[in-house]
Amino acid sequence: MSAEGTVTPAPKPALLSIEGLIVDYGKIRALKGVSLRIAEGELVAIIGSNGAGKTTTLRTISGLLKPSAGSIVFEGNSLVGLPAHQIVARRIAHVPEGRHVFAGQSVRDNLLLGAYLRIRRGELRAVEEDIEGMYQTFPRLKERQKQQAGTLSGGEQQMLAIARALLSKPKLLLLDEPSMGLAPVIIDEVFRLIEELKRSRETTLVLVEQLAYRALEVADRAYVLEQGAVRLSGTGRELMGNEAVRRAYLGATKKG
Amino acid sequence: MTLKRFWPLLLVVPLAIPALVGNPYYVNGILNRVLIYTMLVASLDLMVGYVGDVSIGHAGFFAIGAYSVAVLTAQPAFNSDSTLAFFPQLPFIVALVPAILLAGFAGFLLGFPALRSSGPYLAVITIAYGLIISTLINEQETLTNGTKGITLTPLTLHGYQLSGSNYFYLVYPSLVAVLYLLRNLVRSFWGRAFEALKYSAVAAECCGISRSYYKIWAFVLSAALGGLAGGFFAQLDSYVAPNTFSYNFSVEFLIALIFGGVRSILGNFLGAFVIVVLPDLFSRFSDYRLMVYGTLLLLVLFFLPQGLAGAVRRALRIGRRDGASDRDRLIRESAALSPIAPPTSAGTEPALELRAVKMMFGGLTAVNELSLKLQPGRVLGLIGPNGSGKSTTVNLLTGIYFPSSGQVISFGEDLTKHKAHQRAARGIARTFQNLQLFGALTALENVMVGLHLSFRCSLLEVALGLPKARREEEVARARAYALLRFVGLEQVAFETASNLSYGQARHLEIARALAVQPRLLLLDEPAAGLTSGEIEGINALVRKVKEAGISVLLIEHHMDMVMAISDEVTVLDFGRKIAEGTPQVVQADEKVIEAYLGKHVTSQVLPA
Repeated sequence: MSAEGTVTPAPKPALLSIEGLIVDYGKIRALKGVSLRIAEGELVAIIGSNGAGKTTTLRTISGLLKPSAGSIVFEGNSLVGLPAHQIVARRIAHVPEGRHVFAGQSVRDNLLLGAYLRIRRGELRAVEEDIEGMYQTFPRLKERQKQQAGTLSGGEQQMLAIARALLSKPKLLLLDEPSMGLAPVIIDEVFRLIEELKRSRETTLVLVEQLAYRALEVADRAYVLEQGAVRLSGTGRELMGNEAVRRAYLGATKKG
Repeated sequence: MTLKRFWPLLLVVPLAIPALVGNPYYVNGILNRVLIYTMLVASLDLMVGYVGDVSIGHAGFFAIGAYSVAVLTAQPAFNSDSTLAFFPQLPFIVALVPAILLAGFAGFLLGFPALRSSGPYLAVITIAYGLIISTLINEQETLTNGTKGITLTPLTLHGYQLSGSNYFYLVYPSLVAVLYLLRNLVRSFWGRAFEALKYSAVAAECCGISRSYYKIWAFVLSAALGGLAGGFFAQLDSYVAPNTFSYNFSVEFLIALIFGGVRSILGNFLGAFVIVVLPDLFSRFSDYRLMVYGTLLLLVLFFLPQGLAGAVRRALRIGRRDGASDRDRLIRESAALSPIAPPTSAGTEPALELRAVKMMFGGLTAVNELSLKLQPGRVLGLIGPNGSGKSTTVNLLTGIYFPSSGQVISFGEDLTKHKAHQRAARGIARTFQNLQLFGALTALENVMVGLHLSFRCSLLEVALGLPKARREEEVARARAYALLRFVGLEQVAFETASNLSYGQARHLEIARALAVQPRLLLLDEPAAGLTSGEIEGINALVRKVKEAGISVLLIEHHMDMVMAISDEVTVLDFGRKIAEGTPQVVQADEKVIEAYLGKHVTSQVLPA
């Protein structure tokens, strides 16, 4: 209402805000009222033990699961009830746990499929350029572009899954356990990539990760999920210093 | 409790039906037909519901049974103008035996192509099979009287009529007896072996279950039972003709099975009931009869995915048996059992020795001239980048793959050419990186599949439900429960495996592998996807396994775990060994740091 610069800047609006999310698998309640706020350009980690509801949260955001109650608001619009493919159209991309590359398709076709909606909008040329860009970032994918994705090693498949998601030009990227089953040296690469994405600040990132130490190290903020509810939240550094978090999640990952 | 004990008495009640109903059309035309069809649907259920192979050729086995009885019992007086070459004129009951045996043999023959294919391909093979049999019946006129069919002599027993309504007194008790045997079978280690093969043939083999043996047995049993049903069918109308046993007939029974609900005797009965009664009920729709019938089928399948039996269970709020009824006994009996026994005959020979093993996939060399040695009672860590050949190595060790060249030796025995289930019998067990649990079985049953090799009772003892077989089952349940407690899963013992959380599933994999009573345990990324707290739990488990004297090969990417547990570590890259030695030596190796560990790990993980 008033002249620019005279009021204190409003708190950064949330790109994604989730309130009281409840998700049930049959009789089992997986999420018992989860609330999260993720601001544009942030990297937010979600940590917690198996069965805490991390993957469920991501799958509900991207429309693969339907919540029993609660709201998911992205850029001011509710996502609840939208089918997954319409949520992708709102520019939310999901790299699922276990990678799920299209095993029988070539690497290049996997990448093109990631950009499916853009190609349908007639952005083929731009997509081709972006694929070239991806090949710069992931030279291994270029070498293997004609190979069937199922024949790639685990690390290469993870890179492909991330590259495929990025080709949809997402505003929000959901990464589910990108380090799972990867060699340490490849995990380093994956986290280098995540840091680069964070630095560019073009994509907002939600990272679900079992390697809690690595996740907290790279995240701006993090949530700790336990038994379907948010137990703690804070900056990555705060949580790394938290005694309960150290005991439960950082134990064997890192000493000292 | 008392009610449960006496419910078999209820089985006597239906014997009053023929007297009460009276009308022979209802008793013989409908009820007897439903019972005989129930037997055929149950035989199909064994193959489709339990083993997981869809058969669209069961009419073939049914026909073999029906024609065996028809040909062997027919009398010339009733078939005056026939082309039949001979009339053995056996009594009906005697003729049932060759009916069962011939159909069983036909099932045996079908078993072989079934080992090589599955899913839609196998279904097509069964169609072909059914067509061949029905053509043979049509054309072999000297044996079957061709299209004219064979008229049978009405059954009598000491001058007492056994056909028509009275046929019920023969069919009903036979059906009850057969279903009793079948039920005993599918609830035993046989049934678990069938289902294990359905959910993961590889994991079942690694539990010591021979895929070819059990699959062929399943086909033989299913076909023999179909043949018996056919034998009874021949006497139903005292007439058989080839056009009955068409392709449509097979399809109809598959519909009955799915419609009624698989893996359920009640479902088998309801399905059979529906295909006998519904077409009759809809006859007034005349031309649209089939369409109405089809629409009804669609609606039921859409709204009742578990068939009619599932709907009945839901309405009466009966769950599937989860087997928790003997929980107290299990807790009591398992308390006295030690979950893992030290291997009896470990000896001093290496638990594992690979000699220049090479594995080629087409032009790709996945494992190249790999030599390894693991001394008994020790833990060998196997690490390397993704795609370096670690999992291929485990598959070579367990007989999932066979090496292009080189030798696999365990405890002095060359196992290079042994199949997976034979290696399990020699004490090699494994877990799977991408979990291979038997989804619809409970956690306890999953472990019991691992105990498969400890069962000694024969097929007959199991089917008859002899006390010996029951006792064996109870002992195994207690042992499985003890193993679940060992890995900390006793709380979810009666939970379906597919409902377990990821961490629990990983622990269950270990319990199932330990049930095989291994001398050598291969752990393929047991901690993948686990939190550090859970990893420590796995750590402790592996240590206990080692203390029990079991040799362990550990593949893992969590370096702190590998380095803490392993006595030695071998590093692979591109299928070749690039380093080996103690954890300290390997961690300091430049090649290993560059190819695998990276700077992040080496700067952070111990050296102790």
